Amino acid sequence: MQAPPLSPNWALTDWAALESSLKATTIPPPPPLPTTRSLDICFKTNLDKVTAQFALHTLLKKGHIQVQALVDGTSVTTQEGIQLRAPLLEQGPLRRPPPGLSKGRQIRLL
Amino acid sequence: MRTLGLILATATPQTVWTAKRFAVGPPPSRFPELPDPTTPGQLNKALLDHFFPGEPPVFRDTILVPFANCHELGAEEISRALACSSPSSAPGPNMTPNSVWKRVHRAAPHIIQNLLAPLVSYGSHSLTLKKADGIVLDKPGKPSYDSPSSFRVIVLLQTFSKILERIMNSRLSCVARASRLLNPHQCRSLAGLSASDAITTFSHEVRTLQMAQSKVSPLFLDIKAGFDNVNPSTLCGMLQTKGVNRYLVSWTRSFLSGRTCRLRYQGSPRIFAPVSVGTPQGSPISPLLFVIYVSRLHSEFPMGLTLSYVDHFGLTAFSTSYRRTIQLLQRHYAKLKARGSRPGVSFSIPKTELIRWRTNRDRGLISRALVHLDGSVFKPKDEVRWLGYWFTPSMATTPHFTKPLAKAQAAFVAVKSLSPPGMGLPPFVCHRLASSLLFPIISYGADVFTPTCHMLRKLAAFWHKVQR
Repeated sequence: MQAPPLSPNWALTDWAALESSLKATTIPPPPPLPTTRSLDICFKTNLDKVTAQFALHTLLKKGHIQVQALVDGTSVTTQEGIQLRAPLLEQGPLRRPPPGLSKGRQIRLL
Repeated sequence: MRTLGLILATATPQTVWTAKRFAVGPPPSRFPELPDPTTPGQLNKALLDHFFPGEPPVFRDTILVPFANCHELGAEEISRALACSSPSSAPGPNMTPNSVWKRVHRAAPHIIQNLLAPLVSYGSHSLTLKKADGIVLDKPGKPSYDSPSSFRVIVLLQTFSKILERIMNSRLSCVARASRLLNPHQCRSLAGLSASDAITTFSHEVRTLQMAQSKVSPLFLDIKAGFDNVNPSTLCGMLQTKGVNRYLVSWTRSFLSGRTCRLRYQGSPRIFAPVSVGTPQGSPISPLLFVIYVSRLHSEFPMGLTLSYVDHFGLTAFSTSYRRTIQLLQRHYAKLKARGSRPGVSFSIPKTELIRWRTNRDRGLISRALVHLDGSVFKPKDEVRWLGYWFTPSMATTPHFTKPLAKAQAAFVAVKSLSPPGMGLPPFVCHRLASSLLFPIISYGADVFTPTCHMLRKLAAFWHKVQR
């Protein structure tokens, strides 16, 4: 079971720094006579190189981390340094928070 | 209320749904509670099997060779593709909106160009770009939510993938007409072939036939689960036969196979699973691929006309009597069904509609002959809606404007309730909201249909009320 990725807050991107680092980024060509899979790996590596720079210069939205702890069942530290823990759901019986409970209340219950 | 006021102050027809979400709040999310699955993995599989039935195509790892006749990907081509993409469209698994890619391309044009150029020259669509998020939403008003049919899925494709899809769409569009991949009676997917063009052609043909004293009957058909049933091998075979560049054929085959989807709902395991989707809905190239796929359904129709808009087909038969037009329609439907059986295309019977055009001279001579298709009987209707336009037997335009006017009046009451006298939203915000919300409703179809003087007075009276 995977945790949902944190959502970036694009309104808080440091565009000046990001643009200068993107200008300096080089994208290497794929190997000669690649297979479908090796071309994909090369593409993914190059794309990750670019998106990693987005992550470096963009803050994440608040709130998503709490949901991650609830769904994933793992321990997560928030940006404020608070550790959140939730019971493991992996391959166990279906569990869900009681209906009508806000995210904040769910965290307090844990 | 202040945030809502700020949103509404800059409201446009595109942002009006954001305003609604702020005003009404998000709908309650319902958890899929199916009786059989006991673990999250089983529940995920049950939902995947329901939303994406059929075996996913087998992925084969092959050695790729660059295509010699492939046009090099230019920065200008990427700029054109990005210019068409909406900055507000929801991003898929990579979570990067189009607005970010636009800015990246402006700052460093070599990035997107160098990332996509190998995929174009090798005629391959990366597996990474074929990952999609499936948002599971409940269908409102269902008595219970213990069946997958009470839910629907909205698939969010990667924004970066859509850049390449737009580029390939524009390249394939250029060769589609030249290679006769499309029938001249097919609309959508090419520039200048919109719904209003289809309706204009349709109305013009009917009026011309009526002037020749013919009796005219159209039958409206919808293809059942059209996009989902596109067979990649059949489609690529069609492209190859018509002499489309090999890199485009190779890219199309790659684009349609090896797709994976991750369902997202409360408690989902969020794992990517291989799915069979035909041609993915929401992709910029899907309508064009689908229109090419169904082009073979357009065959010669003596004493008739077949006009289509993506998966909507309008068959029009004309003759000296209505009874004869019915026979012609039934015969042509059987032919159409036979032609569609090979590529796996079938028509949805519940969505089939029949109408009978008549002129003032025909008043009182209306035939009630029925159409029999696949064991179902269809009566001629008094009103039919096709591509958002309302038709009546006399081709009067009043019903087309009456129905949107009623909708706009209901919406106007809701807008007014946001701003009671002395409180609520400021008047200029209310005015802007009303204009952006109501004008698109009442003006839909005004490019084709002309309202009567009486209808025009009603529309004007309503609009003056809104402006006040």
